[in-house]
Amino acid sequence: MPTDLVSQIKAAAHNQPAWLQKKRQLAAQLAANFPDNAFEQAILDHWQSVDLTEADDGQGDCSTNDYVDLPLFTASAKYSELLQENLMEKAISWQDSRLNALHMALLNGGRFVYVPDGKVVKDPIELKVTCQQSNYHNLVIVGANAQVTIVEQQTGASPVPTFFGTELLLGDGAVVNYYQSNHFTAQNNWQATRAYQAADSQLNVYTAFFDGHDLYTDTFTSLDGDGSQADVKTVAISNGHQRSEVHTRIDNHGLHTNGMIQQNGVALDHGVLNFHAVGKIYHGSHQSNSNQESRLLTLNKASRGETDPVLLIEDNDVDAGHAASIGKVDADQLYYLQSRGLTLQQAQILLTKGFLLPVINKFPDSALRARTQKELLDRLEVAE
Amino acid sequence: MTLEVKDLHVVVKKTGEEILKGVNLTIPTGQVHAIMGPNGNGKSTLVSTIMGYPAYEATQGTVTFNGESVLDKPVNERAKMGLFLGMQYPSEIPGVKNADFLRAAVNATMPAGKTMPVLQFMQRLNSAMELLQMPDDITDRYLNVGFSGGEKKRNEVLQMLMLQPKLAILDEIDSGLDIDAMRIVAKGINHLRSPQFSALLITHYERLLKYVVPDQIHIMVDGQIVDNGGPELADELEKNGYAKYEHEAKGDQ
Ligand SMILES: Nc1ncnc2c1ncn2[C@@H]1O[C@H](COP(=O)(O)OP(=O)(O)OP(=O)(O)O)[C@@H](O)[C@H]1O
Ligand SMILES: [Mg+2]
Repeated sequence: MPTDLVSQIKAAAHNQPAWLQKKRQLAAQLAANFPDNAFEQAILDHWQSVDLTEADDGQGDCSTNDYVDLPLFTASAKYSELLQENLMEKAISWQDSRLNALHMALLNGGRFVYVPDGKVVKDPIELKVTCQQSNYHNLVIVGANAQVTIVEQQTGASPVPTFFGTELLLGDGAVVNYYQSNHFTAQNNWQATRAYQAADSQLNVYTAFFDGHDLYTDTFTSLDGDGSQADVKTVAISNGHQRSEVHTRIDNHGLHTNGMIQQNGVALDHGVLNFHAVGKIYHGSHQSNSNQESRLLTLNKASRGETDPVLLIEDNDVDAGHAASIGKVDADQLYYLQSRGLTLQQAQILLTKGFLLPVINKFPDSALRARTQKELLDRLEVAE
Repeated sequence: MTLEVKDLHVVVKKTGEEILKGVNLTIPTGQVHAIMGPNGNGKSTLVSTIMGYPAYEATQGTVTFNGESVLDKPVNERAKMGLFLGMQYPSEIPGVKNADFLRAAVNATMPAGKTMPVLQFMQRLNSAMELLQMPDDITDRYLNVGFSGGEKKRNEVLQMLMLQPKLAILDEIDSGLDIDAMRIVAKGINHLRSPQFSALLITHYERLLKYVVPDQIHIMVDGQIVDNGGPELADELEKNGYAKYEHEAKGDQ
């Protein structure tokens, strides 16, 4: 990475804690050492001259008596130790890839949410921002036996590719429901959502990838503590000339951990939608489960999709399984619907809804379920 | 709203095999006609071609409805003209609720830009379901998925009652129906009978035609209409079968 960038970062970060300045500079240097990945490269090409302005979500301090909710840079000073220990260390590791390293280096802001041990937060915490810059990062720490629902609905407004990162760190026995449906403006974007789970914690992830631009998603959770559980439900659409690479992974480390991935997606027009799902059960993770189900529907000849289910099982005493299917829409079904007056597009919309709603209907919160259904309809109207 | 089929020749696109070999048929407004004929002689091919099933191609002849050409229109436009085909083998569509589908279909066949008010839709749905003695939960289920043979047929008639077409073509709507269900389905068809409504029934059994008495019966053999007659033709077929016609068809070749 050019020293030029390092000095830019120095200048932009001079108000931030020393550890953060140092880390960002190191990250910028580290970034140069990684091999290329085509999707990453397309983003990196646009990050040559970058905007290092701090993102202002206009919300300031949203903390309550029950939890902390602060702009990330504010928190990096106020909760310096906590962030130094956790920011891009345990879930989205800044040393993992070139893109992650640069995301760390080029950080524009984000939110820091901290729910202390034992707190049960009733109302959902909303992560909402319309972000003009490219690198926005949320760090959510949920203490032991705390419970919270997080709803993330962010818009990347930058014409330059956006990297949205969210880290979820769950303490022992923490229960987190996490909903996400983000939107973007740039042609290609990156969405990383990674979690680290301590013993007996429970994470339910509900993501709707309904944006209309190219997207690489990286949803990952590490079931580190014994008895931890993760359930990831995803719905996705790719249309126009859009390409979506949906990566979901659950690693079982602890004893009797349980990971479940379910993703349904529809590709139409010339859209490409690929589901990559990995379940890995590490050696010693006895009596653990890893299950995944990926279902794709391609609505016309030009649309394409692949499912790429992977189970990596190192332990014998486990239960693991995967189901994957790619269905082409049946010509007779389309004809049947059209014979009742529906246009080809209306018929496709009905079939798309029919394919995705069964997953959306499993979202437990009725308001969020309704919202996601509405978003699906909006998305399909755009497709129309 | 007369349907006129003239010298219609149809091939299976994939194989090029000719199934219809010059069909002539007229169904004037307000009349109910029936087509009978042995298995595999082109009855479903005829009505599927009229509706626009993509596997078939008309190579010669015309189909007009109310003077307008039908064959060059997309499938959904044909529905908007007032054509309805109750299919011999209705598709199952998982994930699409019967009620949502009915609503979409009703709105799709309304004049451009119009939708049916929810209340009116519900009223029409309730009275149609009552007429057909269908259980309430059938509209909550996915379209035709797991429906019994008879339920599927009844659901076709339900769609017909909801869409109120100008010409309803019902392809073996009576097959798989028990005696009571046949009576109920017949009631559904008769319910729509009016000087503005016409119907074309394809059936193998005279029983349906006892309940829905047709103005005319046509016999189709080997891709052609080989005979026409009044309701009494059904009784004759019941007694003697199609031997006479098949003989003639063979003799032609
Ligand atoms: N898509 C197709 N591909 C190949 N052959 C076809 C296709 N559709 C129809 N045929 C053939 O055309 C002939 C007529 O079929 P059709 O379904 O019209 O008969 P039908 O008179 O409706 O018979 P049934 O009384 O058994 O319903 C049959 O020999 C059938 O195998
Ligand atoms: Mg038939």
